[in-house]
Order: sequence, then structure tokens, then C-alpha cells
Amino acid sequence: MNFLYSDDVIIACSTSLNGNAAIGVIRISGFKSLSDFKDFFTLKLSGPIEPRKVYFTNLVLQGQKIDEVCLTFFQAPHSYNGENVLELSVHGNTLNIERILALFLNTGLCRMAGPGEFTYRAVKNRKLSLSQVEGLDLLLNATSGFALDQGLSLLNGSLFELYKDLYHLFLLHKASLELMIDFSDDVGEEAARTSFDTTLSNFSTKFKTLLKRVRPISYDLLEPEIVLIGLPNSGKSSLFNYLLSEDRAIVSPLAGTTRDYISESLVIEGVKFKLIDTAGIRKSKDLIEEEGISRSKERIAKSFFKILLINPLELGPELKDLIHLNPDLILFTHQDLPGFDSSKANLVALYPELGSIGAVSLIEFSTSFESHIESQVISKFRELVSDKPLLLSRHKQLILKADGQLSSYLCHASQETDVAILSHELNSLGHCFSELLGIVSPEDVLNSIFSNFCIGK
Amino acid sequence: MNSFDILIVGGGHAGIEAAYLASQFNLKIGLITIPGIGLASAPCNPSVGGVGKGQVVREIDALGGAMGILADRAGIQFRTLNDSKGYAVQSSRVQIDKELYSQEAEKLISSISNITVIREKIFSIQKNDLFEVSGINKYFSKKIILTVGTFLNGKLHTGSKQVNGGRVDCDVSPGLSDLLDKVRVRPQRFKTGTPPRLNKSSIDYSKLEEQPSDSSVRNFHCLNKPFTRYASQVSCYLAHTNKTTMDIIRENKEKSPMFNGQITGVGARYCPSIEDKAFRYPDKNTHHVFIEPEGLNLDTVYPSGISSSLPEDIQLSYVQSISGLESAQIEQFGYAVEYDVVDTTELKQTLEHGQLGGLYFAGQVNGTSGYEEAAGQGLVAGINAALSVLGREAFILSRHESYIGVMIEDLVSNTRDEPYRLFTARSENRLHIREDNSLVRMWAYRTKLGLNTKIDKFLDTFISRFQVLCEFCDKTMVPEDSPLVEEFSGVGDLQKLSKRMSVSELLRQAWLDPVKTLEHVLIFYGLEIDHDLSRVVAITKKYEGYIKRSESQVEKLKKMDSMKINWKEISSSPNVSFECRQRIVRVMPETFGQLKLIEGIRPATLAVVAAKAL
Repeated sequence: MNFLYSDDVIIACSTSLNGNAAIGVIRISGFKSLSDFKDFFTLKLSGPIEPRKVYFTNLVLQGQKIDEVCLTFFQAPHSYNGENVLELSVHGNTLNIERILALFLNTGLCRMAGPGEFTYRAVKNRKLSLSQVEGLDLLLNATSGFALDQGLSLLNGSLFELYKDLYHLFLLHKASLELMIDFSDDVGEEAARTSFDTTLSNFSTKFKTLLKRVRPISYDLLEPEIVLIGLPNSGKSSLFNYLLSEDRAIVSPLAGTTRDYISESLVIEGVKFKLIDTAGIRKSKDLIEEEGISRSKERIAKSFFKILLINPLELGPELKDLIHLNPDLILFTHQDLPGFDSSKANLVALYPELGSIGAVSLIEFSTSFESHIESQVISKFRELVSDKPLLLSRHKQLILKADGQLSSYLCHASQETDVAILSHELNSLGHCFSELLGIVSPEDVLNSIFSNFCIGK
Repeated sequence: MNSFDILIVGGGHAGIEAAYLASQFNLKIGLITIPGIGLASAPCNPSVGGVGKGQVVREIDALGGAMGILADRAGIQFRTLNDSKGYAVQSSRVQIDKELYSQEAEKLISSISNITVIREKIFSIQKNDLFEVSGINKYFSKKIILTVGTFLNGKLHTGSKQVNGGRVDCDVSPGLSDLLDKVRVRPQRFKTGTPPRLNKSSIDYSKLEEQPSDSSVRNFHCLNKPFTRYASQVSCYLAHTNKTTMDIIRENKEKSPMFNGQITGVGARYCPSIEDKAFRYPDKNTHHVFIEPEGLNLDTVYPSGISSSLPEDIQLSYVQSISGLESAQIEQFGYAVEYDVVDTTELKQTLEHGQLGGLYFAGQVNGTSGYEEAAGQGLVAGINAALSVLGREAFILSRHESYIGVMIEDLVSNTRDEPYRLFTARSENRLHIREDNSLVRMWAYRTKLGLNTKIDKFLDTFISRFQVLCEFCDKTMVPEDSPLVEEFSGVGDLQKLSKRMSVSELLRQAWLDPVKTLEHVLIFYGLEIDHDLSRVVAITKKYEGYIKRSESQVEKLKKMDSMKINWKEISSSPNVSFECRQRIVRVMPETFGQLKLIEGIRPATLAVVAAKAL
């Protein structure tokens, strides 16, 4: 990422270029003087352009009017990223935005910004901390209110505060260990030991509350997946289309990489889910298809919510595998066909676990039925997020690593009499927190964070 | 004849160490000291060594210094601190007969023909081509080392009584401060205190816990036989304060110069007076009081842990409230001293002043507490002044290899809010900077001095044997069914080895004591190896893995530490606490590493800076 080290003037569109809108916002950042751009605007002012005031003006090139725009100048250091920033609100037709961008780029006054480059400069100019950047990333890419909240809490630093509190408790414990080594003559052996035990227990108790927020969740809470599984002809596609309402499903079904599933976005109570229709799972002699099926199984295992559809009249030996995937909801389809009731009864007798999951018979697709599924999905999601699980994998990994270090430390603390070694072990735990707080090697973290960013931010 | 290569002003622990080391370079050394006080006197606690400090004494000894020689000669009770807490943090401490210690120092210094001891009070130092020192006579010198302790504007307090002076019965020479007009002195004065001295025979020892001398503590001086004692051994005793003791102090808060505003100097948090303890820990009434003899022929004992500047009647009543001290008589009352200290950030790592070339500072005048800290600095200043006279390269001890290095880097890289006491937590490399391996750590440094004395020959032999024994441990394999394993039954729990392993690996096994294990191994192979040597090899092998790991962490930290920061911006940031901002403005750190070294900087501040200053 060589852009990280240049201080060119950069330009980008900060709003979406994926469709026409009323307004598009273009940002130019890092210029020395506003006068570089004065020829582009027809402003007639008695004085200079004042920072943080909105001006309405024509945007012109060689006397020819290009657009009518609103211009705002943010003067360094009082801007989002600490540099001089010019923000233009232009008409939001993508053609118009692209034409204006090209116009500025052709003058050679600026170059196109790289992904996240505006924000990178904000970090460089100490306008944002690393945690805040991670929060911003989350906020901008959130697919649920929950993720939005967490992004905001990182951006305003409240999660950081929690880490700091924990780090403080950690340091108190570390201090008590040092007390035991360097000052036990002054404070007395027993008092030193008591303080060691108390501070360790305070720290580990608090740490456990944080650990709850990173309990291992194998699925992606940023974009939770609802997956429909079942043998061919069990009615998955019908349910898929029904949940999405048919027309949407037909408009743009996204093919999976191996063409073994299709997926679409489904919004339930403001939370965006990914609804996936897997390819029918059946035994196959075709190697390529086998591969596809095994991938589907992997995918299913990682999904947030699994709906198994069963047509009791068309069973196959693979059904057993499907039931063992632990579906969250089981639906019996084709209830209108003759023989449904007896076949279903046979099946439940064969697989008693079907009853305990609370399988539901699907009579027909109806509004009440849809809301039954949706309420199950959303209540599972709500329950999961009630502990405010951490979304950022960097944080999760560090906290899990700290947990491992803590367990090993606790084990040492109960056996080891060599306090110097104990203190050495404790340092490894401290490193995890230093990383969480960003004290250690932030450059390692930077690349991964900025590679997620969209251009114009 | 009144002209010297190096003049040292102050005959305390820093001064004699500077003189002793500098004299080894065959230069002409003058040591100026106040008439009436013996060299290397011990105005405070009568002991040498301690946690972290024991390591310093052994470093001084391995570098050819005097402190270990004197401590052995005058040692009357030996003890290993942190005995049960692992080899890395074990430290030796010896109670000294303070009369004997000073006599031995006089004997040692006077035996050296190129040191002239001058007992005069001086009143001015000027610098022309040479330094010109005026007392009764005039003296000239190429280099000056100032080791004046608490005598810079010293003021003594006992209750409301105030006397000018650096210690009891010694007035201060006002001229000493004048000569330092050009030297920046810390605006905040420091304070230190000493407890009342008690009459030895007025104490009921039957009520106290006896701590006899430990015959298994190795002498400090490496050329001495390990366990031979040169003076008679006596015991120390442990007493405890109680609620009555602490109440007496709390009721008299307004009479304490430290709490009624009479003393404004700052004392060490790590060496609190009994008043500090009373007010800082209002819930705690039981504090240790070690009753330490001051000498075999002296009538006084030093009650460690109750230093005070309260009025005399109150000192007597709180002392007598302690069980065993009910009829104790005070021979000399406790007092506090306030004094000026040099701004050590102006000094180089050689302890030479940055602006005033040729002028060196060492010891308490640099804001440290403790004889060992003073001696360590004296040694560094003495060596460097000598090397500088000879036009040779400076001598700098790394903080990763010695506590002296830790101390000096800490001193010169930032100003302190309180007297500096060395302890093991100040080092990042505690598992390596140990007492047992001080010879190994200091050998290369001593060798660089290019002196060929008895100690140099001893070190060379020791190191080559060390290397051979290390190699033996790495290369000798112990098979899992070795009869050797049987030998360990007396060492740890008898366990079969899980696999064939080298002796080094065997020494790392958590269930074995490395020192005893290596002894067994050596006996098994019929090797007769000196105890000191097998001990250092055993412990070195035990910690080797840990040390390697921490070295890689040290590397990472070094990288982070070199990051440039903008202190002005940080000190105006609303995210940084007021207290931290004040400290930052004072020190003006340029790198993250320097910021980290500032005392009292909160981790939150570091986090804010690290996260933002990319």
C-alpha cells in the first residue's frame, strides 16, 4: 500500500457511485491553498472563502458551465482528516459525478484517492485512533442496528474505555507481583500474598465478562446467513422465492462460486440477513458434484440459521445427514398430498429428535407462516447479540489469546514458586492488552484495517 | 603537587568508588572529604545489598570496585532476600559494622599510592584551563567528580528545629552551591530521613523474632572464599508497630515537618517514613521494624522502618509503644534532610555534565537513594573520567545487562519526582540480570578497561571454565534409563525422564532444582567443579529459554520505542490527563521510548499516543 506514504492532493466521490441519486459528494483533500481551485468556480466574493460555510456556485471549465454545486471548505486542522478539505455537493447522476472527477483529474492538480486514504490521513494527523477507525469501518459497513451501535461505540471510544479499565486491573495485579518481589520486607510476606490474590481475582472476574462477548460463534454476525436445506424437491426454492417475494428473487439471483447455491439479502426488522438456497443434497457419483455438495455442507455448518425442509413422501438415505446438521427449524412440506400424515408419523417414529426440535408442518405459504419463521430467526439473533458480542475479529482473536495466556498464568500461579518466571508469564498476557489498546505494533494492524475501506472515505 | 588528573569531591560511597576505580588507570587522584568524618560512612541504615541492590554490589565487585571488599570485611549478619522466590530475584544483604566499614575504607584507600586524601572543607570551584578548587589550599585538576550527597543546600529537620547541614553534626558549605551556579538544579528539592537510634541494651530481645546470620550466603567479593566471615556474626531482630504506635503519630500530624508544610521536599515513595505509613495507610497499624545492630562495639541499633522527623518527645513515645522497645532509650533522634539535586537529564551516560565538560556527578546529589546506587554511579563516573583523561572511548553499561546500566539510563533520560531507588522491577531483563551471573555479565565490560590486575586474571579463568561447563551441559546426553535419574530422588519428586535429553534440558525441568541437579550430574561424571561456577551454569541454563523469548520482545519494544512523537501536541491533547501533561512538558520526550520512561505516565496516555502517533 504505497499510497500510505504519499502526501499528494487526492480526490474521490464519497457517496455511492452504484446508482443515480439527487446529490453526490466529492471530496478533495491535502491541497496547500484553496486558490489552486479558484478558476473552477464563479463565486464573486469580496473576501476569501470562509471555512465551514456553504457557498452555492457554478462549476466551470474554461468558461463552460459543468454543474451547479454547493461548496464547503474545511480548513486544516479543523477537518475530518486534519488536512485542507474541499467538499462539493454535485448533482448525483453517476455520469455527472464521473465527468467532474475526470475534469479535476485531467488538470493534474490531484489524483484519485486509494481505498481508505482519507481516513488513513485522519489517523496520521491524529484525528482518529486505530480503534476509532475500526469502529468507523464497522459503522460504514454495518448490516444491522447492532453492528451500527458497536461501530459507534468504537468510534466514540467506549469499548476502548472498557479495555483501559481492564488493563488498569491488570496493572494492579502486576504491581502486586512486583511488590512481592521488591518490597516484601517492607510490607510483609503475608500482606504481599493477599494483595497478589485479590488483584488476580479482580482482574480475572472482569476479564470473564469481556470473554463472554467473544464466546466462539462460528457464524458471521456481520452478515448472518439463513440457509435452506433439504433433499431435491423438498420445496426449498418455493420457500426461497416466497420469503423474498418472487419478483426480487428473479431479478438478481447471485450465483455461488461453484454454482451450488443462490443467495439474496433478506431484511427482517432492520437486520440484514443473507438467505441461501443450497443445491439439493444427495449422494452423487459425479466427483465435481460431490465437491459442490461437500462445500455446501461446510457452508451450512457455518450458517447462522438452518431451515430443513422435508417432504415425508420423498425420503432418501441422505436425510439422516441433514438431520444431524442440527437445523434450527424443520418444516414438513407437501401436506396437501395423500399419505402425508402417515408418512410423517413413520418419520417422527424413526427420528425422535424431529419432535424435540419442534418441526412444523407447512400447509401453505402464508403471511402468518412467514412471520413464524422470521420471529424465530430474529429471536435467535437478538439472543446472540444481547451479550454484545464483539464483531471485530482482530479484537476477538486478541481476547481469546489473552484468555489462553490467562489460563496458563493461573496454572503457573498455583504451582510455580519462581516469581520471576511468573512475572515473565504475566508479561505475555500484558502484550495482548497492549495490542488491544494499540500500544504495540500498530503498523501490523493498519494494512488489514485499511484494505477493507471503500474509496472516498 | 596540588595538581591532579582527577579530583573527587566527597568521600562517601560514590566518592571512594570513583577514586578506587580511577586509580587503577595509574592517574593522579585527589579525594577531598570533610574533616571529621571517615570515608564511606553510613549515616543511614547499616547495611549493604538488598533486592536489586545486591546485584549492583556484585556488578561493582566484578568491575573491580571496592564495595564488595568492604562489605565482606565489615559484614556482621548475612541474609538472602527472596530466598524462596526463584533464583532470578534472590539478593544478598549484609548488615555492616559501620565503624569497621569506614576503617576498612580508610585502609583500602590509603594503601593506594596514587590517591591523595585531602580533608578540607572547600568553598569554591572554578574552571579555567583546569578546574581550580579552593579550600585552605588551592588544587588543580583536569576532571572533577562531585559526589556531595545531601550537602547541596542541605537542611536538617527534627520537629520544628531546623539546622543547615547535610547530616547530623555537619554543617553545609554554602560555597558548594555557588560553584554550581551554571548547573541546573531541579526546582523540587528532595527529602530523605533517618530513624532514631536506640540504645542496644535497652531492648527486650525476648519479645522480638530473631534473624540469625545465614552462613550459606556467598561473600560479595569474588576473590574472597565464598563463606569465610571476617567479623563476628550477630543477629537482627524483627519488631512490629501496633495501633498505639500509629495513633501517637496520627495524633501529632501537625507537629510533623513533613505534613505541616515545614518540609516541602519530596521523599521516596519506596522508602516511606513512619509518618508516611501512618497517613497513607490509615487502616494498617502493623508495620515491620527491623532492629539492626550498627556495629559490634557500638551501643546503638538502627530500627529500620520508622524513620521520622517528628519532635523528640513524640519519637520516644511511639518507639516505646512497640512491644520489646518499652524501655528503649534513644541515643540520637531521627531527622529529615532536605537537599538540592542536580537535573540529571543534563548528564551524559558517562555522568559527565552535558554543558560543563570535565565535570561529573555521582551519588545522592543525582537524586538517588542508597549506598549501592551511589557506589554504582561513582564507579561509572570514575572510570569515565579516567578514560577521558586518557583520551579513550567512553564506558557505558547496557541496561539489558546490568542494574547499574538500568539506573544510569533511567537517570539521564528523565527527571524524577522523588529519590530514585533501584529495584528489580525497573529492569526489563530481570531473568538475565542476576546475582549469580554478575561475573559473566561484567566480564566483557571489565576486559574493555584493559587493566591487568588479579581480578582480571580471575575473571578470564572463570569465564573460560563457564564456557566449557555450558558446552558440557549442552552436549552431554542423559538417556531416559540412566542410573543418573535415580540420583534425583533426593532432589525433586522421583520421576522417570520422558525422553533422552541433554543436561541443559534436564536443568530446565520445572520439577528439578537446577543447582542441586547439576551438582548431582557433576558428581556422577566424577567432575569436581567449583560451587560458584556450577551454580551460575545451572541457573543460566534454567532461564535460557525465557531469556531468549524476552530478548525477542525487547527487540519489538525497541522498534516501537524509537518512534518519534510530538510532545507539544500530546501535552495539549484533552485525552491526556492533566498530571501526565505536566510531566510530559517537563521532560519534552522526543520518542515513544522516552515517553514510556517518564515516571507516572499512565498506560492510557501511552495507548492514546501509540494509537495516534503513527
